[in-house]
Amino acid sequence: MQAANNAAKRSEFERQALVHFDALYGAAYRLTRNARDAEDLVQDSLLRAFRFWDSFEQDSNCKAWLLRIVTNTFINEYQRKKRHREVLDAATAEQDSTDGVLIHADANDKQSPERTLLERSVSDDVQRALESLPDDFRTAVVLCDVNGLAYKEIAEIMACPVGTVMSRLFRGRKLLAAALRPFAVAEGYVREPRATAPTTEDKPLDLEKYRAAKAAKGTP
Amino acid sequence: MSSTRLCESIDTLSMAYLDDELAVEERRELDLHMLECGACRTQLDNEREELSLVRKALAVPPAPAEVRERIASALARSIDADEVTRAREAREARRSRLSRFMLPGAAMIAAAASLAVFVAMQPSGETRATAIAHEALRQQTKALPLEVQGVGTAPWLRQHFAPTVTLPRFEDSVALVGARLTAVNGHDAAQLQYEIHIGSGSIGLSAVVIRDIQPAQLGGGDDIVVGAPGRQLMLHVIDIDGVPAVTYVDDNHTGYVFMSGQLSAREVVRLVVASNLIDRAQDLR
Ligand SMILES: [Zn+2]
Repeated sequence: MQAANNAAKRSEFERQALVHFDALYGAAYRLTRNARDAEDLVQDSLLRAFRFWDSFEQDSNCKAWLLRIVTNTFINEYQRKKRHREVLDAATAEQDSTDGVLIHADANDKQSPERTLLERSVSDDVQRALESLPDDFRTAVVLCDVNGLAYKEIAEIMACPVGTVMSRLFRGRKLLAAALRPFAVAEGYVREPRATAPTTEDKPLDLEKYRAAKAAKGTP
Repeated sequence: MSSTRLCESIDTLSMAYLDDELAVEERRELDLHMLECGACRTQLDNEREELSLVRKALAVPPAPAEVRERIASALARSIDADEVTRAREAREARRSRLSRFMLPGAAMIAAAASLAVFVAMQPSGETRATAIAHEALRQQTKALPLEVQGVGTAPWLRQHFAPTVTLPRFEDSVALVGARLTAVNGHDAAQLQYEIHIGSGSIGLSAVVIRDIQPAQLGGGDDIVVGAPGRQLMLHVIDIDGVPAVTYVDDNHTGYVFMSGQLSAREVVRLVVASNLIDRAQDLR
């Protein structure tokens, strides 16, 4: 009886949740900024999602629900783990330097050298640019530009108003674009550096406020 | 006439336009405006180019097939293991006086012994966390600024929040660092921030205290039964979108929701069981 229920739950979960695998992986990859952590994060998030599958409202957006779990799991687990690992890495590096041996983390990479080099130069630029963003900006940009969620869905995940989402997106994208532009120009993504510098750094953006103001004025 | 209004808000509008967040008529209005306003047109073109740069750079190719398979099979294994572990834990917890929640901390064992605490976990009928628990937890994850900090926190809460509500006190390594007033689904509430000192560092623990609430409003999740038969109290362990929390409602209809981004549900239960809330309730009964 119980076993049959679980089997049904599993197949239903697989049918509805696993179709979003690529979206979850994409978000995890950009949030954690490395493939190993992304894999762990997706796996942990899917297990959590399965545990709480009963609480998923069947008529709501499954992808947004799963991405909320990925985001929360990332904030709660991976940020902490990362800090922990940085401490360990620092300790190891210190140990290595006193031993006179310093092994580069990528030394065991077995991909063909030229391909790896090319891919690394491209993705390193992006990951480094992401690294420089405040967490909230990065999360908003990832949920919107990697996963294509609507402002409202992002606002629910990040527990903030839509206006805050817009400001984070706006500024996050500006910072990213500025960091990526030199590379994009070199690769021919964009024609030339833009003449005008980005302005209105801290200007609040809020579609709801705009609509409210418009409605208040009253249109003929 | 409407030109100025649109020009003034072009940052907001162009972004919403490109993200496809505008309503049909808003979109049409902006399209018409751009036919006659070069400045807004240029702005939109710049934003469009920038957005495409960002999106192109951020695009993640689908995970390699082997990663997908690895995750799928690891997930299947975890689900199997999870089911086995949960069944075993439930069985063991029913049998043993001190469940696995009670980690062997000296303070904990002492507290448990003095109270003759029995802890058992059982899945509740309702696995879903309530709307109020959801909202309480969401507020805690927001990291909003505290209104009061330091030693004055408890007196301030008695004055501004409620004179008679029991504020949670934990073992000595846990200090109340500050609080803010809030409301959870229309109920007066306060968010209390604690710091747990461990070695040279510290980790955060927060509690939302909600007034005038019924036990069912904070139910759901796994039930934790604490106390000797006849004097039992009920805690709940809920998990909302991957964040674990422990809830409790006392005899005065005060609700408590505890969470820590850095502790497991089990560790939070351990702290709550050893807190003054459980202690006091045991004395009263
Ligand atoms: Zn204009």
